[in-house]
Amino acid sequence: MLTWVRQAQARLMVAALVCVAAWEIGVLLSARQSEPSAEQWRAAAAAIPSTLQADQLIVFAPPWLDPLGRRWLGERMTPQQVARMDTARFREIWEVSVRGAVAKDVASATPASEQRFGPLRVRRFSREAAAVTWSLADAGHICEIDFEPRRGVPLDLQTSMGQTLRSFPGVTLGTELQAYAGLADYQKRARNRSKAFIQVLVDGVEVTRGFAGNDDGWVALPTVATAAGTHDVAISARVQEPDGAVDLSVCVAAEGRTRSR
Amino acid sequence: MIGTRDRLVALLIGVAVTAIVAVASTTQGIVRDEAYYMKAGELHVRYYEDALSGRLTHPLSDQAIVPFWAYVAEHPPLLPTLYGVSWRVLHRCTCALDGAWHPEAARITGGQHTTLAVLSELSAFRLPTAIFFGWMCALVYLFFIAALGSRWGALAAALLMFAQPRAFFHAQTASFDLPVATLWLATTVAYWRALDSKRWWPAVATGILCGLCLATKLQSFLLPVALGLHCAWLVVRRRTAEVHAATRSFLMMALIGPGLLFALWPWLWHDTFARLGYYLRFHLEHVHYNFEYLGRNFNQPPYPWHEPLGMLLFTAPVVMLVLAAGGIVSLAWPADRWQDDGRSTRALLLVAGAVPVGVFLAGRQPIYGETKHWLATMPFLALAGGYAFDRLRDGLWRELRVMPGTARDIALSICLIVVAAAPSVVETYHSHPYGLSHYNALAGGPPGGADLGMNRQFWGYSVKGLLPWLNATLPPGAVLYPHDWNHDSWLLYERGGALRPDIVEAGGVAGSDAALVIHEKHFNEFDFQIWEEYGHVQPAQVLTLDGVPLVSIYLRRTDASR
Repeated sequence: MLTWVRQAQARLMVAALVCVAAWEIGVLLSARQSEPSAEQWRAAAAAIPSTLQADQLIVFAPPWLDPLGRRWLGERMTPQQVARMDTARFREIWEVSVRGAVAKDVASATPASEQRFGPLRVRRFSREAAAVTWSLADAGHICEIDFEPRRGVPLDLQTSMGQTLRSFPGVTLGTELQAYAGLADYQKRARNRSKAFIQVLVDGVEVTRGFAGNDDGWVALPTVATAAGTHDVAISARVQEPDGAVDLSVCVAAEGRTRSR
Repeated sequence: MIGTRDRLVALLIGVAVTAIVAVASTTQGIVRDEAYYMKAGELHVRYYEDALSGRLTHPLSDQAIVPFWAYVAEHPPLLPTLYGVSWRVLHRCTCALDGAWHPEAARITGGQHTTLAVLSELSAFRLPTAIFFGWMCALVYLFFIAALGSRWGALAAALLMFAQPRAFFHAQTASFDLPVATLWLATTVAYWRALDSKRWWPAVATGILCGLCLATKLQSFLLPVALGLHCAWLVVRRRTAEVHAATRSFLMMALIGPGLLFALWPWLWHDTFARLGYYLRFHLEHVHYNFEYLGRNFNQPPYPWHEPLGMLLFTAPVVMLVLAAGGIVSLAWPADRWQDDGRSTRALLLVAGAVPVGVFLAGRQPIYGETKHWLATMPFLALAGGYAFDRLRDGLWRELRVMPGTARDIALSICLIVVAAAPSVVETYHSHPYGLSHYNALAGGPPGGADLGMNRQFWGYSVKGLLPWLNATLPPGAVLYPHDWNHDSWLLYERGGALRPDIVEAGGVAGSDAALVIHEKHFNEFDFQIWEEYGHVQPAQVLTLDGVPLVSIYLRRTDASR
């Protein structure tokens, strides 16, 4: 056997090279063919309700598909939905994906339906949705957090002793309060050498807290149970662990919610 | 030994490569800095024209030099000057009619430039880089024959050099990275030839090429380091004659190199050290642009040490990488023919190929240039690939005794060349004209590169693919926010008739009727700005490569269009 291999060494290596060459060409051709056609996009779009309610959401996977997905389905999406805080308020999520990718919003969920249109896969997910009683995002704008869109309110800190507080008096809370925070603006993150410490206060009492650093992305603060009704909410941010330049553009979002169960 | 037939074949390779690249470049978008270099080219050539015709009364004075040479003083002069010369000789001239688009000092107000009028302005500017690429491929062919002896191997090496998506991309543009890689190879070859000679002229040739290299781009400062390492190896091997020959080359490089740089760069003729200092400081203190690698956006050091290797692994054709790896291994365990190589050719191939990419492994150099800053490594990988090809060809010829010797040799060689080169050619063809967005089969093609979070593109070059759509869709006088599409590139498109002249360039999203986003990770925030300003998230058109978005364009909706 070894003798035969030695005698056929060049032939075996050339055979291997032929295989690599064929594989290389095949991968490139298949990459080109895996691009969804306009007809396939139209068919996928037709599988999704043409008018979506506020509690229905379309997501794309992998993330780089997003601009193309919005090209075909963007009239059914709003900036508020795309720059959402999270998906708790959505009872139905439609995922459009290629290459077997799964959107992180539905990563562990089981689809209620699945359809294929060439390389496009459309899956529908049904879930229990929370009723939103108050959303801070309504008062904010879209921030870039970890290169993703998040609608929130900015709290800027430029000095190591800096502290910012935003108050929202008389808001209607449900049975729970969820807050998120992240550092906006990648250029500031590149300069910044500190963390932000965020506190959420309800009626003057701290109910939840968290930290946001350069590489932390969009941080979910621990969810808190609240008494349904009208409350004063305040969110403060201050500098933590300054280790050089302080340039924090903290973006915060919060929702008062009531869950059906 | 190189014969006349080899030189003819090399000439054919050079001409064919130049012609293919020149034709392909007509569909290639304008990259960010090209417009600046073209403008500099017009100024530089006008200086020589005015100086030689006597229009400049004191052409050597600083007052005469500054208007033509202060622009793009952060780069050496050779390539901008060649771009200018090529443009001046070959372009179809409407310069008096479109004078506003030309740099002020180089404008003509009436008549026409006397030219051969065979190329568009853009093609004429870009032609020198295409010629450099042709020269590089021809040089790979000739050097392979001289150093490694096989013509089939040389042909394979030249093809492997030619069919590389990223090198092919850069060869189409009026920029310096491909030319400096060519001159790096040419100087190395000249140095290698000089090692075998007791005369001075090969050393003089090395010095001249080194000077041209210095006059092209900053990487050239590393060339003496690479050749110095090789010379040190010769010293270790006690190759006295070769060390003496290398010393002659270094002497000529030290004398002729800076002298040629000075002679070719009038900007340095006054206030020399301050201006040289500015040139060096510009690069040593260069801003770190954004670059996405493996899903992370980098814009300051430390960078991952493996970034250049990762980019190489995911951008070069796979068969070429496999052959190059095989060639490096084969060269590391040499056959008999290497035993008496007094010039330590293998060591030279190693250092001259490794130094350009090696300096980026420290993780401190800016990485925004993807593969372009170490393109000089690629011809050496192609040579190694050619060597592996030749060993395979040789082995196959011995094993397959199905035909008489010569016929078998030709048949096997042609078949093997098809196997070795076809994937690279397919890949290069496939990538055009979006070579900076292309990733190889190891990455999974462009979609695989996007999955891996690899840099999508830079320089805003891909917008050219959307120009027909913009011209057909935007209403008259539309205000367009161009994002990272460079102002000077916009002007060049307009000047060349590729963009409607009534479209107005906006400084920001606010007040625009349409807005572009060129997709790179750090540019995502521009999408968000547009959503806020336009009130919707739906691009009207998305330019893609294999389904991967490169550029999106949004239209502001009027009440009627909502």
